[in-house]
Amino acid sequence: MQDTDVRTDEAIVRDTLAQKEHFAVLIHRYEIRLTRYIKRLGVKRIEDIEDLLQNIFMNTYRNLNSFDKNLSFSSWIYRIAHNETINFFRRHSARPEGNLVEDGDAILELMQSEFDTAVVAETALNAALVSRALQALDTKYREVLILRYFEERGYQDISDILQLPMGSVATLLYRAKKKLQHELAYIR
Amino acid sequence: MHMNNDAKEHNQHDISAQVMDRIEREHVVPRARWKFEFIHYALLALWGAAVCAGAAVTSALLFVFSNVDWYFYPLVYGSLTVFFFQTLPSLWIIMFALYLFAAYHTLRHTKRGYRLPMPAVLAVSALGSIFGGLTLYGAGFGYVLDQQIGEYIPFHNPILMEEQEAWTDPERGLLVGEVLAINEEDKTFQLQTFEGQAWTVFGGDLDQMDWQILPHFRHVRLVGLPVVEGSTTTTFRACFVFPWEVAGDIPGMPPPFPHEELMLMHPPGEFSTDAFLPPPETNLSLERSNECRAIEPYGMPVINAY
Repeated sequence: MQDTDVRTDEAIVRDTLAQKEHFAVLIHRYEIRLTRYIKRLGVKRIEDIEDLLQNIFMNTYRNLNSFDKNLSFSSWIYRIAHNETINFFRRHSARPEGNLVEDGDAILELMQSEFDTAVVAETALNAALVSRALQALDTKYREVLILRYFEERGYQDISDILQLPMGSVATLLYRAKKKLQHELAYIR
Repeated sequence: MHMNNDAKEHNQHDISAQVMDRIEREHVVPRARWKFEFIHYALLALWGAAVCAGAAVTSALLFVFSNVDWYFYPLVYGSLTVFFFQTLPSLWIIMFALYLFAAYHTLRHTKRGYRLPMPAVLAVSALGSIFGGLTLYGAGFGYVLDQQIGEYIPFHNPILMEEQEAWTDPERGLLVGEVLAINEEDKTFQLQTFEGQAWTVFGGDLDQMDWQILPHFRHVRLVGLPVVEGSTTTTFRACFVFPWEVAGDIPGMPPPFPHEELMLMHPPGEFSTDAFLPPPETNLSLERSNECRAIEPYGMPVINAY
């Protein structure tokens, strides 16, 4: 079912608070994006993804009145998705096990925009190598790289999703790229 | 491809249907807006409370720093290290750090507080506490907190008590107390320490400035020598006299000294703080008695009790 509803997210939130059936439109609009995001964060099993998605949407509905109109709805629901996923890893004492190979284009873009051509030439043919290096990073570095290059988020959005000052986001991204370079050199 | 799209759409419908069904079945409703607003404003109020508490502690810190014996520490404490550790207001410093930490974390958890950089939050909170502390110090709250409340806090010695204890050491030639009676003919006066002990003080070595201080300052500190008489010592030979002042006490309280009177009697500058310091050491040896000649107001006294 394609999203033919032309209303903005914020308008649908307003309508949902008056009549809950409108919430289905938001679920439909964000389900695929959030599924992809949860997978990128490292949730592998289909059953876990479905449970998480349900929890995310239930929490979104319960907390609709806390939605701050100064944020984009997209950043706000991604924040809920991020927090729920982190809580999932803590509850199950699990380690993220994502596979980012299918995001080959995003990986290439990351490499081309941030690293020198020698590194790019070598690694551009091996998205799997880059994916392995990403998985080896600390969560805080991996999640900021995922938001920036795979979810294509700007600094303000990342700040709102991770609830960090923009300066901290910039610092994290810088360090994440350095760590990724180091990890790539180690793996090679 | 067509089947994959159909499968995807089926799944989407399932998730959507599952969530809506669960909302219906569990009678889930969005939490009321006022609850979120309450939390936000409660956190803001907590931040304000932390800054105010920091201001109170700052006023106590200012009270300590303005009443610590910066001039006389070699005489009273012996070394800078001992002086530093003896008078360091650790309690107030630790409490200031704790309130600053609380202020940062409460503000950070407000609706948009996470957007504020940590240095900015800490700076604003600290500056708020410092400016508030200056105001409270001027109103005498630093005195109330350190002296009157601090007295009851375990492991904390209020600065005035610390100084009184350090200056009530006649064997080391240090005395502090209230001037009760002055006899200029005999060059003696009566002094009662803060612990209630009465001393007869011989002021033969005191100069004119010292004798002017005595009637105008209710409390004074003396540098000199105890006079041993038999097995007891309640006579003291004063070589130097300095006022005992309390900075930052409660405005309107009867002052320990009538500063305004003193200022009117004498030209401005004559009784500045520097005027209460003894003249350069090179002149002292000629003006003082043998006993007092060995006494240095800022270094360690040489005790030659007789």
